[in-house]
Amino acid sequence: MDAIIQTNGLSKDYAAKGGRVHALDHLNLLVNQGEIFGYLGPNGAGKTTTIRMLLDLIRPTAGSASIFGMAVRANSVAIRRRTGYLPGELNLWDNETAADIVRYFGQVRGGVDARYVRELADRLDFDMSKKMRSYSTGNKRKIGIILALMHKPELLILDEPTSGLDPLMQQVFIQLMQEARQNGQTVFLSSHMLSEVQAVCDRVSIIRSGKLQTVDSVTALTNVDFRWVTLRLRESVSRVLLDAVPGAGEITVDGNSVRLRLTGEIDPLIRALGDRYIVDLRTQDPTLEEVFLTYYGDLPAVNGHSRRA
Amino acid sequence: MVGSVFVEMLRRHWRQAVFWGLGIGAITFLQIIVLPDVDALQQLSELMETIPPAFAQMFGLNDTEYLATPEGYVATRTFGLLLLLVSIYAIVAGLNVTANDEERGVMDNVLALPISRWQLVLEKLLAYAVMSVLVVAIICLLTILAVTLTPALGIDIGKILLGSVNVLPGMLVVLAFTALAGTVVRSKGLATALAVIFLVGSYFVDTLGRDAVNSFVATLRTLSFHSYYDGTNVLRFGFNAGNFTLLLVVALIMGALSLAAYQRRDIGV
Repeated sequence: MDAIIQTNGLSKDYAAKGGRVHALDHLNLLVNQGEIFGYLGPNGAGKTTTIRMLLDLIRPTAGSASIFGMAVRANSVAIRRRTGYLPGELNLWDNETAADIVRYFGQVRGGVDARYVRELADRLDFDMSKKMRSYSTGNKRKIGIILALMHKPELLILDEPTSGLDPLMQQVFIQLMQEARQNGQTVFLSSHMLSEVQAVCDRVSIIRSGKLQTVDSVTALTNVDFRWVTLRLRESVSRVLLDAVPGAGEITVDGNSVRLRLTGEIDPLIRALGDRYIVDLRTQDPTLEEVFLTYYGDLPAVNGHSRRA
Repeated sequence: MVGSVFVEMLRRHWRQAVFWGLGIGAITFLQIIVLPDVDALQQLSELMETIPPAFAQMFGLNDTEYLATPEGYVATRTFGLLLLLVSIYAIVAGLNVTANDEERGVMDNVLALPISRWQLVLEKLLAYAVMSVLVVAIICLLTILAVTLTPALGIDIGKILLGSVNVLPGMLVVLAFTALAGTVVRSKGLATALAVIFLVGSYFVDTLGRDAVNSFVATLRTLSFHSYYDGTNVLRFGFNAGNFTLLLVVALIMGALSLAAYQRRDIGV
């Protein structure tokens, strides 16, 4: 598979009071053709810094980046011709109508299909005749999506694309991304919304404090060796008994119901319950959010990844 | 597509240029329409002679005899201060080249388009240069209209045209300097401050340097772009092609520097 985006030791430092801040620290990333790649991290993790370097809006302190096999600095115009971009915070000219802005961007790009623009506007239920200052946050997001998609680019770089969109429009956006995948377009999608990433992405990278924590498929990331187990018994069970089960943690006993986090196999738990009658047993894989928290929050390590404070 | 930014800037801002032209043109129009008669001008000339020379010089009142003529009055009152007035428009336009869009966070969207930074700055500079010509053309037309409505003054329309054209290079210098400031520094406020300091500083260095002969300020005056613009004497002695060309070259150099400066730095958000 061809690499569409590749970064090698990409770093960005900023001068700040009391020294320099490492906004991005030796990022090595590979995004393949035709995949929807999630770039996940909390606010301030370095997501937007990465995107702005990919678009040559800011220059790296060290390292390099290439898109379509071309160095981003030397070939920025050629790269941007084949790329659609939606910034995290969309600012446009308040006194211009959305239609005027679409027309202007279309003229600069050249070869934009007006019918496709209208189709996008219809699907997003967006009226382009108003001035920018009169649009709500969600509508501004819609014009951003239209501007990013209207020239059917080979690569879409989207920063927090559904932020501000209502649930109905989020579904439309997910459909658009699925269509992009079918058309062979590559999508680099930055987000801090796990549900968005889980819904559309093939692979996910997690970034924290400018450092890449992991890159894996959504399936692999969620297929970790712990799960939530919920048991309903005919009689109550002692917490001491459950504490002794290897791999059991975060145990909650509520009358005859038990909920615990189990790492490893389930057999030791069943054996520990002995001849107690199990009315119901349910297991639930961790959500991407819980995986995410293992990198940022308070959950124990999974798949050998070290726990982060 | 080449020229798209240029055309878009003209589409968006030509009305603003027309209003600036009409506004400043109204001032020049009124200055001529309410021009005192020749006797009143003579009295004004005598009054001017009582003013301390340095003070009179500050307002471009060098030759009180010439001032007593209708042409001298127009040359001093209208064209003596015209560069300062049109420079305000030039600063506003220069900030539109990059500083305003960068301050608003619009530049990320614009530079995500397939257009190089130098092309963006060049097309915008050219568009605002054209609109600067439009501003001056409207002022010129209103001034000619005023002169036509007052034939008794006997002011040559050709000289009005010459005085108007003469203001253009200085105006373009201010436009290019402001654009350069906006491409070098990220802050719009700082770029504005630099442009105002450049304009006002140049004006005062020129004015003070003219009086303080054989002083440091007189030497410094050669650095003031105002010293190469003589709005009064262009009507009296004709066009100074050397100064005109020099200011145009300075504007071109500053424009070229702004293209280069914007290539180098990070775009602010």
